[in-house]
Order: sequence, then C-alpha cells, then structure tokens
Amino acid sequence: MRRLLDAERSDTQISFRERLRAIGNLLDARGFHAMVIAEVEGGMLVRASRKGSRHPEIIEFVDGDPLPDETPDPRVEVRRRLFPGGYAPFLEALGARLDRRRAIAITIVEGTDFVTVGGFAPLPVADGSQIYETLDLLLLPEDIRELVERGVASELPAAAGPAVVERAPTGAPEPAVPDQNSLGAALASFTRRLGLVRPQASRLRG
Amino acid sequence: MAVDHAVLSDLAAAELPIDLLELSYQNRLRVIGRFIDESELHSITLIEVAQGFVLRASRAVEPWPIAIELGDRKISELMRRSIGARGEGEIERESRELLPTGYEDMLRALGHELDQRIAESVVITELPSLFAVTGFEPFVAAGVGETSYRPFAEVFGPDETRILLHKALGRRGSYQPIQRYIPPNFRG
Repeated sequence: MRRLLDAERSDTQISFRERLRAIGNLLDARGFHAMVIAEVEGGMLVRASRKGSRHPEIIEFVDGDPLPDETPDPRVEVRRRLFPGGYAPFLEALGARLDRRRAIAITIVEGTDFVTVGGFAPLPVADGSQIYETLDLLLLPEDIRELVERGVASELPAAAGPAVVERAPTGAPEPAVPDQNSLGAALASFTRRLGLVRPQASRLRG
Repeated sequence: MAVDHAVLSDLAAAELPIDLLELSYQNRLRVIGRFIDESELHSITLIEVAQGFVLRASRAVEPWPIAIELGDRKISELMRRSIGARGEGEIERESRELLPTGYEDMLRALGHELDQRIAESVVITELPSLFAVTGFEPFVAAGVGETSYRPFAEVFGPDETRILLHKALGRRGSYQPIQRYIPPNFRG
C-alpha cells in the first residue's frame, strides 16, 4: 500500500485496455473474485478475494512498473456468474471503452449481480475550459454479456488506437466527441431502466 | 464488539453513552463521513482492508482522486475528535439529492445496515446517482447447518437513501445495541 500511496501521477499511461486486461488475467490466473479496482494518483489499487475466502487481498499496480504477465490456466475452471469467460475479456472491452472516452480516475466495483463504473471523462466545451462528466455506469448481467460479446474491436476508433494514450494535460484538453456508443449513452439507458437520476456534468478547473 | 479504550476517558468526561465506543461500522463510518465532509471530498470509494479502510476520493475542483489510509488508529483519533466536537454546532456540508445532509449521516446510516447484516470486508462506492455497497455476510447453508459467508451487494439510489436516512433519524437518541451474531452451531 505504501508504494502506491507515495507514488505520483504520470501523464503518459498505458491504455486502460492494456492495464485492465493484464489485471483481469492476473485475477483469473489466481482465482480471485469480488473484484474492486480503483485508480488513484500513481496507479491502480485492486482488492479481491481468493476462491473460498472472504478475506480480501490488496494488489497495487504502480504506474511505470511492468504490467503483470500471468496467463490463466485453461484447465482451472473458476466459476463466476457475471463473468463466465473470466475477468480479462470483460475488463479489456471495458478498458477500450474507457480509453475511447479518455476517462480518468476510474473505479470498477463488482457486486453480486452488477458492476459499477465510475470516474470522469472530458466533455467538449466551446470556450476551451475543462469540464468533466462524471461517469455513472451500472452494468447489469445482460450489459456485461453484450460488452464482452461485442469485444474490443467495436470500441476502437476507425484508425486503430495506440497502446499508449496521452492524457489530456489539465487546462488544455482536447474535446471528447460523444457518440451513440459512449458510456454516457449507455448510462442513459441504464439510468432510465433503473429510474435513477441522470448525472450532472461537473465543472472542474476552469 | 471491540471498544477503543483510548477514548473511554473522553466519553466519561463528556458523559456520553458507551455505545459510541464500539468499533462498529456505524461508528467508524460516521466519523469517516465527518472527515469527508470536513475535508470537502466527494466521489468516494471506501475500501475495507485489514485493520482499517482505504478512502479514495476527489477534492472539490480536482478530479484526480487521492487515496488516504484510515487505519484503526486514525479512526480512533477521528472518534476522539468527533466526541470532542460535540456541541460545537454543525459543520457546513454540501447538499445533493443523493446526500441531502452530507456524508456523515449517510455513512452512519449505511454503517447501521452493515452492522445489522454482520457484514465484513465491505466496499462503498459513490456514483453520481447511487451508492453501491458490497461485502460478505454470514448465512447458514440449507441442510448443512454450518455458517458460511457469501458476497452481498446493494444499490442505494436517491429514494433508497432518503428512506435510509429517515430510518436513521428515527433511531437517534434511542440506543439499540448491535445484535451479536451467534452461529447456529454455537447455540447451546
């Protein structure tokens, strides 16, 4: 914990797609469940429990460290109701979607029958000021299945994106262009379904 | 339920009920909520770890979150400060639909629910339209008779938080000791 809490944010990051896929592979390989992923300045904090245990472990992924390279053993079957194909395909597809939105400061929390995704994503503004939309995504089992089935390809822009993404420097953002496949659009669908309130865009750093 | 003897004398001096000493979720989350209110943090994710919590939250105008370790010792310190601050009046809190009276009240109310479930290893995450609470709770598997633990998850939107806060308000001033969980195989 100490390493991550002392780490500083780096403006050039490996894409969410790459990082989340590596985290998913590690969780799958070690048979973890009850996943929580929280991005903080300096890296990613992951909490998960091993099979048969209710006592969670904390795993730190500090920016700049090599990504873990663990491959799940296909002979070992880990049953997860929400992720029958494992964490890695879901997290990779979600990561690609978060990259597309240029999201920052994400959280991913697994519940028994849902996954929440939080964080911030820049919104296009005419005057060049920095406005972030707060992500407010509640993924239900059918949404998770759809995301995995559509896979990473559907989340990539027409010209394949690089594995390394440059974070927009604070104060001089490149506007994000919302589209029908964005988290915001998906969110509207989920919030309508649940009768929840549509999130407000947060104005941050004028 | 464990108590923190370090704050016992403070409570005695202030003539406050001893239940404030319990290191229950209700008491711990209440003081963490107060800390969040005082620090003007938002968009929180509170992750229980061994001997405490990790709080990940954003500051007022800065989206990048900070991570703060709130170990048991730090929480005891917050409890002592909270007891010392009694009677000093309310602190300013931001009011939103999901948090009409701030984090202290909301987390206290959630903490009570978690105590009632005998929850463990909880995570509380806030999105703009909801709080999601996950963790583990004991249950007795049918036909087996042994206590085991299973994951649970709850979502609290604005309507649910209003109900939660209303119930919590109704409990104020009427101390109800936490019902300790006795696994069936320990019953005489």
